[in-house]
Amino acid sequence: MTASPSYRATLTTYLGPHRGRVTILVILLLGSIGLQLVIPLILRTFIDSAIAGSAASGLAIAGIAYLVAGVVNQLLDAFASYLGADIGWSATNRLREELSSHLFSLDMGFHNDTTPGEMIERVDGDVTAISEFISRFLVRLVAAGVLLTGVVVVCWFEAPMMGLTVTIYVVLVLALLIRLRKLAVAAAEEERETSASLYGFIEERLAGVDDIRSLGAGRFTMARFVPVMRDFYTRTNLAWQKRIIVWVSANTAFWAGDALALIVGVWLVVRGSITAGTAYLILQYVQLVRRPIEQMTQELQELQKAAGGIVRIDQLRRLETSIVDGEVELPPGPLAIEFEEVSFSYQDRGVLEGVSFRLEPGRSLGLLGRTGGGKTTITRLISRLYDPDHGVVRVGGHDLRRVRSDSLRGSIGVVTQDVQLFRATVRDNLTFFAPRPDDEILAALDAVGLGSWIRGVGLGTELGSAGQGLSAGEQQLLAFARVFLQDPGVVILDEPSSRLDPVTEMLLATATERIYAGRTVVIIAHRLETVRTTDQIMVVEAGRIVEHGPRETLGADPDSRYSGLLATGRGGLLGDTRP
Amino acid sequence: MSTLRLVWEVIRYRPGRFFFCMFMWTLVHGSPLLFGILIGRVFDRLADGGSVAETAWGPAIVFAVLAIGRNLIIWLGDRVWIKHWIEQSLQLRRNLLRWVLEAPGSRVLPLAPGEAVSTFRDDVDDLLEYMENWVDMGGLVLFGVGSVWIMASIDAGLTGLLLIPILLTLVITQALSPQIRKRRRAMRSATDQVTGFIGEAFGGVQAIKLAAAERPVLDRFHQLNTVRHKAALSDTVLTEVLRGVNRNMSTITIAIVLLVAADAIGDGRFSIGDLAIFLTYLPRLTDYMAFAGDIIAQHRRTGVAYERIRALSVDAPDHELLDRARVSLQGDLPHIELPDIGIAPLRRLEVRDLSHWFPDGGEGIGGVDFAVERGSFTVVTGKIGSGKSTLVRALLGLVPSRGEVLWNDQPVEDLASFFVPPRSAYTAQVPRLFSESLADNIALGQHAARERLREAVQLAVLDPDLERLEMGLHTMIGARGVKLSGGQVQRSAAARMLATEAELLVFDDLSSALDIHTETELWRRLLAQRDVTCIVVSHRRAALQRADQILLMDRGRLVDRGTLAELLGHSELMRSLWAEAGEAA
Repeated sequence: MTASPSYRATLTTYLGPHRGRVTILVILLLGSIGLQLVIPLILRTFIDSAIAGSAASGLAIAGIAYLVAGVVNQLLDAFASYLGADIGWSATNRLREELSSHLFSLDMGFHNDTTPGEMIERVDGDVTAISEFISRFLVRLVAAGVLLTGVVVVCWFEAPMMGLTVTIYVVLVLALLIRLRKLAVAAAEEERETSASLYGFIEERLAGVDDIRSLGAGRFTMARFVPVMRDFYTRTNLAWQKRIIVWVSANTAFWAGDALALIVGVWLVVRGSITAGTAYLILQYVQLVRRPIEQMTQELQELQKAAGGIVRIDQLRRLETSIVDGEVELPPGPLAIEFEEVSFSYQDRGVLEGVSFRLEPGRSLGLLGRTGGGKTTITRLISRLYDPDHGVVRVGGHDLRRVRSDSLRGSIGVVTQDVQLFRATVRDNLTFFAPRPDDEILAALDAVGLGSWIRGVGLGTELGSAGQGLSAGEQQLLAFARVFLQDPGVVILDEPSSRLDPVTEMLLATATERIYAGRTVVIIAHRLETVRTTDQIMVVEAGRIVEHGPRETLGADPDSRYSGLLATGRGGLLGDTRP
Repeated sequence: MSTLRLVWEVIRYRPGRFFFCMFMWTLVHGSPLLFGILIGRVFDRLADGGSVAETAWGPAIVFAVLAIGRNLIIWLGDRVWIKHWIEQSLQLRRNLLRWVLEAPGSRVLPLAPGEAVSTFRDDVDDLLEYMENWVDMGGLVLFGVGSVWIMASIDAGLTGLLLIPILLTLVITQALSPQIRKRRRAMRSATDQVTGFIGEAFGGVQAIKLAAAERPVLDRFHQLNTVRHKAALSDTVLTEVLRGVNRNMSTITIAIVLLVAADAIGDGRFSIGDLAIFLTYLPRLTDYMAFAGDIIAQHRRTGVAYERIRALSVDAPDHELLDRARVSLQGDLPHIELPDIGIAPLRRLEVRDLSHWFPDGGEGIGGVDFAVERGSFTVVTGKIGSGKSTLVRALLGLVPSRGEVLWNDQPVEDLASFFVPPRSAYTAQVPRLFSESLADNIALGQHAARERLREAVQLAVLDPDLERLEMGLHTMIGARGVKLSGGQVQRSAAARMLATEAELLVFDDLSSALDIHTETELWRRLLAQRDVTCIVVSHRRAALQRADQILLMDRGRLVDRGTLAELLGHSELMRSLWAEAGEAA
């Protein structure tokens, strides 16, 4: 792992595919820089010729040259901005997609340790910083540097005193601005924090408007708002005052530059070293360097931001999954599931210890036991989200480590408790954005009893984020529909533990029954009701199987844990104290 | 209210500061008039050459002094302006928040809280940005009129010709700048889509892996990226076009000057100094015209921003939203006690023909009549969606309703402002807590309530939780109380309600987050210690068994009432609800 960012590697990797357009961009920029240097020279020539009393036609040519150079320069500059943005977005969107693809391939061990917020920061935040680096480094920083150099060179060429003056000026102002910029950055951060707390207060109170009003707490809340406002006022004021100092200092430096140019110009003309036209040229050049100086100081700071991003993304790209793909293709239809002395630990904590069992094709198994006992881990090992530390998991008689992962994914359908829904249409939510014929999707929704609902509202209905607008039960039904659409031979269900309304409950029961037909099913049950139809029952406690057998046998044995559970009653005793 | 009138009302908050800043900015924008003249002098003298050139020192040095002095004015003006801006933004935000939280009548926010915040932030900023333009206005006009006048006095014909491209800048900018805003917004929403999708995709990475859906998900990501790429380019193009118009117009005007001067300089009608004046004024003049064009566009937008602020308040009169009471920025914090409204203790509450309809045409409740006696325990029950919550919310004035509510046989005028402590208190089904300490959440800033904190905590069965919280009552509970469990939030809200010592307590369904034992304990403690009147929405046996009266709701109607035994005797619906409640227990 290298700690220093590889700027060059980053540039060649992401700009490589756009080599042609980058070349055009460079040409445009150089053209624009050249013209920016030339335009003041045209004015100088005009003034000097006018003083010398040249013919009007000669002066008119200078006027036309000025017009052409000005307009062409503007066009080059605009086109360069466009091209720079285009290249930047193409390159970084590719980076975003490659990075996401890579991250998807990492195992769940990685994803359990990261939050979606962090991923947004990496895949969008850091990459955007790199995009700034790519598009701006070239367009702004390099171009600004070339332009500044150009101005200094032309000035030295015109008159050494003039060159010296402009050089000293540029160096001093750059140094000043780079120093001030830090103050501005601190101010901007302070400001973001302060507004976050003001609007956080407001947002929370708006969300609780019923609570506040019904408790008659409006006046007290407004009184509580006073210190929040004072804090906002003090801190925002401080931040803005800092910012204004930065701005006014820069502006003073620039205007001092104008004054310096005038005075040096007068001095050199009086000494006879330059013409009046050249004195005007100095003034123009000093004004010309304002923008590149500002850009350079700003971009140098972006560069630091990008450096962090490049290092972090490099590290992510070096990560590799521990799950290696196999070659065996699983046959269609229901498959047997077999655990042989399986042990698994997660973050040094043993989760499963020597678990062995076999489930015949087409049969169903109900998993019972307290939360945290290892039920979910068993199902995750079956779908190979993890590999066991010891022992073998077999599906359809094949060690999962030798099975091709896409074949395995196609053969196993999973319904989790927390259904993952996207802010997208119902159709996209069912197919995960893959194209599928409407009648297949409708058939899957029919199978879970949502057919008439969806025909009313349409497959194109947008779901809110996290399934906003759908009850937990309805979300579960959509997850069932996903399984019907996939039509796998093995199904893993994690029953919802929260209470559902009776109608949804009934739909779910019907859907579950249909899922059982012709499939091998493993179901994590939170209510005894659920396992009344499974062939086998397995009770898991503290990572071990404490009871396993045909349901009817266990139910008939008065000493079994299962019949104990049946006798004492209901869901609460299964240990799921989750609200 | 017209936009100009609106701006005037806003300015009147602190007119002294406003006009001071306007004066400073008039100096700042007007001073370049002098700069042009000084630069003109310098180059006239330099052009003459010889000993005259030596007199160019004078104007050059005056220029230096003025240029630096101008920055001092900018700094002094900005110092005041910044304070003014922040204070005024707080004034408007405070007025809006105060209306939403305190105004009489029922209040249903027309927007989700997240969206409503953007009105507090962006719409208020829009309004102030527009007001800021008026600070610049004096200087813009001064420079515009002054520069045109000076140039015209040098060459009237030429200046007339130059006005065409200059005014064109104004026209084009004001037409294009709304487009820029639109594209910025499109860009922002495309970015939100991308980041939202990344969050969802990695939040659900397990589901994606299990469904082997990596490829289609990445394809979708690619689509969203492409949309964002296009939006960004479209934004760039328009920005460049606008900048191009501005800069090209400036180039064109200077080229015109050069072409005209080519002729005029020869015969002495136009000096090098005159040329320098034109070259100094013209770029600034086109800049200011672009600025003016932008102001015109903003003028239209400002009315819309204020409309949105008004819409969020639902019914606030202008004088409330623009209330000029100073924002309290220093001194002691306001100390507020509950006003002694001298209430008559509740003897009997009666509801007659209470109805509510949802604005989207959804089923509400209709024609509900019932009465509650002092010290009684009333349970409202029914199936999901039967209108239980709506009934109590309508009673308390949280949603608009029709019908009559009588407190001790006296009709209540405005339900929302009447049903507050010490008359009544309420706990919502999903109560909202705030990111402060637990104690502050329960007392809600009321000093009187602080004294009752311990008792309220005990009544709400929150005391066992306090022992487990690191800092007890002083624990900071995080945004919306995320650091608490669902049950703790529910009990904290109950404690908050109990701390008010209100006569009538209204609970909207505690069961979703309280287990059965805790709920039973809560009722036991509450009824044992206090002479309270309760209206409780519940389907739990723990509540039903205690009820003096049960109100049975079905499809928005009150279909039956009575004691548990009576209802179990004759109501099929009650029997099925009772059976279901047993399942849950």
